[in-house]
Amino acid sequence: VVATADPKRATERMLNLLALLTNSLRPLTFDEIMIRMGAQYPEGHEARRTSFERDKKVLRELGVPFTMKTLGGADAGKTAYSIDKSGYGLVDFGLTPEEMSALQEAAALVQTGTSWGKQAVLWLGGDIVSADSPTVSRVKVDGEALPDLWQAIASSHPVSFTYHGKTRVVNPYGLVSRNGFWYLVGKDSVRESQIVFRVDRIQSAVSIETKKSFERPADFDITTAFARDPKDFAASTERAVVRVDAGVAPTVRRELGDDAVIVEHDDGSVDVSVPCGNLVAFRTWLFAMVDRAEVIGPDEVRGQVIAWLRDMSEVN
Amino acid sequence: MARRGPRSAAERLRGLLVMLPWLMQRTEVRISDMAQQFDVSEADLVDDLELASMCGVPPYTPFDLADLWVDNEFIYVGPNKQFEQRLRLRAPEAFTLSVLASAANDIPGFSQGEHLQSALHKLQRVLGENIVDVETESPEHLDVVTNAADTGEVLRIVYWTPSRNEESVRNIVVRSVFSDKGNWYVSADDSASGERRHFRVDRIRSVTPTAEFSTVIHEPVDIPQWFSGDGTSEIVTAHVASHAAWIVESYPCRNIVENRDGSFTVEIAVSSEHWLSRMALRAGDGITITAPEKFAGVAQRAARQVLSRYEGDNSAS
Repeated sequence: VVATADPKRATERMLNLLALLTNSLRPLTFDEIMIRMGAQYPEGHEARRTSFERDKKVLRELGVPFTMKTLGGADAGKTAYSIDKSGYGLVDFGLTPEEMSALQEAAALVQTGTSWGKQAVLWLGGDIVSADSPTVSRVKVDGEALPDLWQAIASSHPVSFTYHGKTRVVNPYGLVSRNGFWYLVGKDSVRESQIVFRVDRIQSAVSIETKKSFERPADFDITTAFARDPKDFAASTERAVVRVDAGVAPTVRRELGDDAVIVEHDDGSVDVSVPCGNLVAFRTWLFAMVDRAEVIGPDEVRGQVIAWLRDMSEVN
Repeated sequence: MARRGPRSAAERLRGLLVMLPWLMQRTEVRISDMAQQFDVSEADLVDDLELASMCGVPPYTPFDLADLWVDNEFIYVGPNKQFEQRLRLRAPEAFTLSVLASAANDIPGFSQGEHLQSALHKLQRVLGENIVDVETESPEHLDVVTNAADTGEVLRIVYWTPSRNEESVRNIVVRSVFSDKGNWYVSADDSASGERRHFRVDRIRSVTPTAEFSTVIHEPVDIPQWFSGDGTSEIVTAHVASHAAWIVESYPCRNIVENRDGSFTVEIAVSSEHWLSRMALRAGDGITITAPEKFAGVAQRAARQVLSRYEGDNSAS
């Protein structure tokens, strides 16, 4: 085995380095490693050190728990290297065949646009299976920002990135996929409030501030953290009655629930009771239906809607 | 399809450190099967595994090397303590596992939800909790169309087309059901057009099973690329006030410029004037269309249209 820049030989050398340190009963110094691995590393101390440091870096980046310790006694001051087997993040999760089968099926039925899901299944020791169901789902997860944000959330580190041309520092709490877009929910350090960022609008690499950490609020719930418009006005006690045409009635009924329906008309239209305390949210919801919905009452809310429409229709 | 081209040492090493523990669980695997699993060519796979078979510990006698050999069409492997440890999941794989779990549970007919949940519970120390949420709608007729895709039963549907605000009655044979961008669709043979068409499930107003059956065709589900730059959208330039910033996040804006006062100048891909009208109404004074000229008055026109309902003879007040 001879030292070379050939990728194949470098792969072989790193596998041998991994085997040597895994098998060794004690940490080995640089000199001991060089003696044992001989001509696999190049001639000359500097070249050997450079090559060794590169191997160490690659192994660490791959997740190999390559550790160092400073020796005492006769070898005082020397650095020794070992593989900390307890440092492997993934040893054995004890997945049953049924649990592995469920993960395999999920990877087959959900199309993410990357091979990451399938690699995860192989990583866990499972098989890649074909989707034999005619029902599948697509949730795109492409781009480097998402895994970086996930990493920061999982490890409770703040992140910084450029958004709308400005640098933002955020305590990231969670990721939501809605209508084909990914959103980051987190606390913005400048606004000191919980806000939402669309991930594909992040204009820079996501930088994880690993030396800082934060605590996510105990009551944070990712499933409700990014409210839809109806939820914005759901807590209001003031209500309006809105007549909704037959064409959109089923959608509104699903959105608000059957309890919101006050009257069902013969032509398929329905009158629904809708919270309207937050007028901006109410307006956003109402005008999504354009002229297929009309506020019936109370008079002041109907009057407000008419006033909005008159203002808009008169603007040049 | 296996990828070709030169591979770096890190890439080859990473592949081997995933493959070796995987192999050790199986002890004997057909080369073609393993190449397919790992999406590598058989030649690259054999090359990598033969390389691994020459690795071990000094003095590198046959007894010190990996217990691994390739013979005819099979790969055989024995216990190799130095290569049996699995690496930790990297962020892309761990994140995607969370996504798969959240999305798969919303797939109708996914029968292994209970096992998936218990698997996730065991993986929790890697994946964390309450971090990822994939929202998918559950429209009213989803179960019926999903069942029809399995049985081949012809369905009579009333379908609403929003761009024309029309309902049509047609018979469909559901070939596949898929979700994309949070909505559910069916790909179906459509009696009205005589073609394979896509229908959004939440726009199906009613479904009637006909008790007629068509032969079920097993084919890969082909989810279309909806907006693949077909050039049918018009680009509108707009000024968005700071209090209407939700428009920038919710609509297909591009070339976004945040102004000093917190407002935005954006370009928006617009599929129709009706679509733009609706957005402008919702935004109220939060948006001003600046170009092209023909869309400058879209909000006023939409407002007059809605106002006519309130002020016309049909007023419900």
